[in-house]
Amino acid sequence: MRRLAAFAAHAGAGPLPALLALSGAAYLTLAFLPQAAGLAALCGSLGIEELWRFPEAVLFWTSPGALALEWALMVVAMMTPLTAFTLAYAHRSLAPQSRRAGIAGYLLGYWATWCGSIAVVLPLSLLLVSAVGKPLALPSALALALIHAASPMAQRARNRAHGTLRLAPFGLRAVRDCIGLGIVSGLRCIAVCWPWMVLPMTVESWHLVLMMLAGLYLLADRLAPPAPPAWRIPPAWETLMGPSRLSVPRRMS
Amino acid sequence: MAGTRTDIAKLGGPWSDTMLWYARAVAALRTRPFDQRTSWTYLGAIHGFDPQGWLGQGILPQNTSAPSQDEMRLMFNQCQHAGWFFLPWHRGYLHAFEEILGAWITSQGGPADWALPYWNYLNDDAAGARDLPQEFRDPTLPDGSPNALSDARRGPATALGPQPWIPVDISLTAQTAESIYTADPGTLGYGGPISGFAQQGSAFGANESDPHNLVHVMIGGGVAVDPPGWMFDPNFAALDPIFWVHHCNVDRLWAAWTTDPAHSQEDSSPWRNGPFPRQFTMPDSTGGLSVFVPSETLPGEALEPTYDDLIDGTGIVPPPVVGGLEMMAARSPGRGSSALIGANESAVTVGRGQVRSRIAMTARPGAGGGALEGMGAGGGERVYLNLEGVRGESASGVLNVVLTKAGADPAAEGAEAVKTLVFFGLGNATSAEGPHGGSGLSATVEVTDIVRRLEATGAVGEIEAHVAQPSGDGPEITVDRITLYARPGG
Repeated sequence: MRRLAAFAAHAGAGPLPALLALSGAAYLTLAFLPQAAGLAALCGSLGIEELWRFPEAVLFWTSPGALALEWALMVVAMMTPLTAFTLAYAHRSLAPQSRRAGIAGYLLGYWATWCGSIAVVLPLSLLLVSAVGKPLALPSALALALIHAASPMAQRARNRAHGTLRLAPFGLRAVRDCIGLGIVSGLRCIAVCWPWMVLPMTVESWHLVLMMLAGLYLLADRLAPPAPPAWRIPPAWETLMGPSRLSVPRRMS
Repeated sequence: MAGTRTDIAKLGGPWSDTMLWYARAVAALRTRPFDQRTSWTYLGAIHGFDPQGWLGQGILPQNTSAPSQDEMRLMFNQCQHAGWFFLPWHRGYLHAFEEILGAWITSQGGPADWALPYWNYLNDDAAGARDLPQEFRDPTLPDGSPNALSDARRGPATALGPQPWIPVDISLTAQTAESIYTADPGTLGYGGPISGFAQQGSAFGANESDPHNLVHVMIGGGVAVDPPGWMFDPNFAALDPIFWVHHCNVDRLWAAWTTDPAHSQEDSSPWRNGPFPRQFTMPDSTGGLSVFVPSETLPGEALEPTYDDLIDGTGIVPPPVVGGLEMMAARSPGRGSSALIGANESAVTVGRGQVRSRIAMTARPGAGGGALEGMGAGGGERVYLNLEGVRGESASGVLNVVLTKAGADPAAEGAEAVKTLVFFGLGNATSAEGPHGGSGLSATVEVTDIVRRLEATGAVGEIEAHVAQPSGDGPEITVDRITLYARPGG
């Protein structure tokens, strides 16, 4: 009950409710988009021996515009709630007259960086689906994501994602700095979250549901505080379920 | 059951019964293995833990058995600094410590109502109040056995006060200057700004800045001591027995502050329930673990301590109104009544010399029609200097700042123009390899008088900040931003 009370109190404070609303709107829009030319359909359409036809597939099998729109909505839906901490920092650091423009700049920088990640995530998804076959694609992607989440590499990236940069408080420099912070935050966030973006791409049905589950998982991951990099139970698990009580003594050296 | 916490100076010492039992209990806990939750080292690691540093200084022997990684992540490096929960977390920590020591003392036939004593260093009515109590300096107990209370690495200071590495005195300013617990952005509140779980958060509150941080650095000895005294570094501080009597006094200052009906204690739901997802967990004397929340530390709740006196050395004018605690819901971050009125151009790095940086003013405090218009300011605005995003390799850092008109010589300013800011836990806040994001620390100091004096000779478009390390030989410290904030007076 104490954990629930603390969560409720903190979830209601700061920018998180507004960000969750924005995320929900993006999910709703995605739900009403036609699925035929979607991302998941594309990933399921090529075999490993046809990977060389990927550019052709993007250009001719699907609509590049629809693909970009779907990817952008996917980014807004899944990633926007993760910006709550950094947005609160930007809000504190900017003069009131610069806040709207600065926060808009931050979000644009963050979303744009994430949108650029399609160049990595889409080929990776394609490679995974082609390599292991459709039936094993989802469990393989999940295993990859969990192993990554438990790794010291991911924890190091997570710690950096909690970092902030100097922001000029006034004028155009404030907007410029906020765009820069958005780009840096986006890159750091990609280093933590990329396997979870691969996950929904491995299925053609239940794509949206998987996106929402992965988005919730990533929010739980983002709420976890920084920690020394080490192999560990993925922090999202501890956010959701409480601290682990596994007891394995160790030797100091 | 814990009894009444008493001033060391009023115990009839040196080596009163209370202090003798404290020394014996510390010695006993030091014999317990690290992986035992009631051991001295385990309790110290709850505050802060540097595995390689502890092994390097021989605090832990090589190949000692340690708790599991999961338990260390849950229990160690919990101390809350530079944030909202500094005061309630340390109150819960003191409670657990006192209960564990009390259980051992009772088991040895000592007083059942033993309570942690406090070091009342700001009691100007008591001669030698700022001297390190003799019990923490004597190498042996009266019976000639080793004294566990003096067995700690410390700097050269034997009394609190200005030192070459920290040229500023401790004070009770926080007790009366800050009447609201939660700080608006860029200003000082008594208890600090809104934050989540933060072993080294973003900005210090008034109580934490002075006297808490100053006492740590005065006893720790600054960067000239290598390795520094334990009190200088949050990852070592709780290993020094003097840490506990220092924090007991800091806690007592908070207890006294809450008795003043003019003060507003934070009581909003996010504060009362504590941070999420990591919460505050403490061991008890049986080795069990339990979570506590900040609301339990408030007057009338389970973790409220009892002190013999809340007037001497607290700055609270007698008589305090018992039960007069006023509660006030916190405002959300950024919705406070403070306004940013000036900022410098770029980050600065402070090494051996003095660094200048100009703060461009966008509003004049007290000018009317400026940044504070419509805030309902009464009694004149108060102005605060902020050093934000401060990073450095040293465990803690100290910076002197002089504000002048642009181009003026800081040497022409009087001693009162020098503001000293202390960054306790700087190294932790800089590292992204531990339980931190590496964003550095911020410190705030009121500069209303200085800015008013500068403004008295005409409108000031720019203010120059001259920043230097007092010792002049510490590792480089970088400062992301230097800003001025204003808020309504009172």
